[in-house]
Amino acid sequence: MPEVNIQHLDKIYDGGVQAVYDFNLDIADGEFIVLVGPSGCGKSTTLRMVAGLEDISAGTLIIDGKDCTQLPPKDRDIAMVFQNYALYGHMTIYENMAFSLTLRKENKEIIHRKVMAAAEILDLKTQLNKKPRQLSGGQRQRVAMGRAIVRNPKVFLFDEPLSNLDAKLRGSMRRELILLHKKLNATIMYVTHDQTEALTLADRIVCMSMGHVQQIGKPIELYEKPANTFVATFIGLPPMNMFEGKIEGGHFKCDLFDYPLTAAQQKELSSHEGEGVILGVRPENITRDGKIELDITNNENLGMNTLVHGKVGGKKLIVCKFAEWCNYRVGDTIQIGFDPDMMHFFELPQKDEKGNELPGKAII
Amino acid sequence: MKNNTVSNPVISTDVMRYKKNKLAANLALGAIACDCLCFMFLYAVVGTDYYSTWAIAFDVIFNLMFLLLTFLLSEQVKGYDSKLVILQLILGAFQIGRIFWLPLGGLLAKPAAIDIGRFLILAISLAASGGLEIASAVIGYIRSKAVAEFNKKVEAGEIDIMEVIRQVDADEAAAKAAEAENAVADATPEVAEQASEEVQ
Repeated sequence: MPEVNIQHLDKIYDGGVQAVYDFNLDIADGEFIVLVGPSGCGKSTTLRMVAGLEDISAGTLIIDGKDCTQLPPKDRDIAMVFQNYALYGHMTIYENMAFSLTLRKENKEIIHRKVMAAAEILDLKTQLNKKPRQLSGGQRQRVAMGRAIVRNPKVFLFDEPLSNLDAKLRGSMRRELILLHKKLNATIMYVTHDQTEALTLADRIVCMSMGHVQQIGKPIELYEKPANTFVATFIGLPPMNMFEGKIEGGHFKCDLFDYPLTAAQQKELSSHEGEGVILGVRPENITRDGKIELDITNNENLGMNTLVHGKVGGKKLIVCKFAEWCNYRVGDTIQIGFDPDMMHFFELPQKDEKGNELPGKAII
Repeated sequence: MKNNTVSNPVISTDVMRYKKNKLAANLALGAIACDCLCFMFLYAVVGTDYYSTWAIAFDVIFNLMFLLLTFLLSEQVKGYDSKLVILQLILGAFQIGRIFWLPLGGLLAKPAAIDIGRFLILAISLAASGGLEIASAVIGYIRSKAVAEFNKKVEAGEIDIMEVIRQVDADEAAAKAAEAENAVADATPEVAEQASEEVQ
């Protein structure tokens, strides 16, 4: 039995604005699910519906076999960690962590055992007598997590918990979250707009855009086999380079270049002969042994690799990622090609009945 | 574990390290409340001949000092600090001693400055104030000593609180498992009987 079962969830606000469309997801016991997408895509709204902080307009939410669609938040056996920590400034860390159990009139000894166990897991034992203002951002977020842990909920919900932290701290907190998940084997729903967090933390990622689920899968699936142009460009840093063109006579032809396809690609794209398609190539899958000319506009050495920005055909700005130190100068021209095994082809974007543009679906 | 007691002595002391000594602090605040009750009833009869201006002035100053010091001491005992426990005991003793000054003096004066009812209210409120102050000092001292000794043991590595908690958790889990086993054993004859009936 899945720990969380979300079926056909919709969110329609009073003004008729729909934030989430037909959200379906089964989360297994102990699974780490990350909801990722740009601002306004409906990921936080979905999480808040699961938490009970937003009414569910349509659909069903089942947590551990129990229909929680209409249950108030306190009866759902979930714990939520917010971006702004939501700690009580006048209470010590110990009191903050014990607060929910104290409200439930839990036995003092049990409260103490749970708080101490959580403090040990989160390395907060020496901070328990301090006030939140005396702690760093990372420590405060750990306290917020500790407050969730002591409740021993069925599901942990995280709403962009690392967004207030600096880049270095975010990295260390990511590693701590992974360890925490392993220790607790907890079921986690985690919302972020940061794809690095999504790729490093998730067992499965739910990629959302405009209230619709675009793809659900393991991080590697979203990276290597994106379901559409939205996922292809959203996942991966720098984003995938996209070229719009046509399949003609075993070639991908666009106004910038003409690229020969392999036999396998020709076979898979045979049904799209003469049709418009989009070619997607990740920056790291661009090689320096092709026939396409790239006029370099920028050269960024990052130590381990180099990001080379340039224009193809004098128009299309793309980025390449080479796994060595490069010293190109602005105005240099190099020859590039694409790794044939890592070329992605998508259908052209379509429009729905309301005139919204839908991302082009993956062909191969 | 439904009630709010802490059965394990190590855990109960460890809890104190993270919680304020609210009992001792509240007892001190109770002493303040009783003192307020006392001076409200005493100053209502200030106009009588027995209570001279100097006596009342001295009483007012003492009350102000008592209120201020007791409030500060209540904050101190809240944090398990027993440095000024002697001062707290002296203040408590003074409160009780005050029964024999203005209240008893007023009752025994010719003519009597206060009636027996007012005397009893003043005596009880002063005795309660002094008693609460002394109780606050004693409890504060005992608890602060217990916490200080516990801290020393923890720092010396004689007590590993996480080990104790793990042991308690393990014992509780074992007790629960045994309880469940007993429940199954109790149910077995009925289940067996029911099963045999179904077979027949």
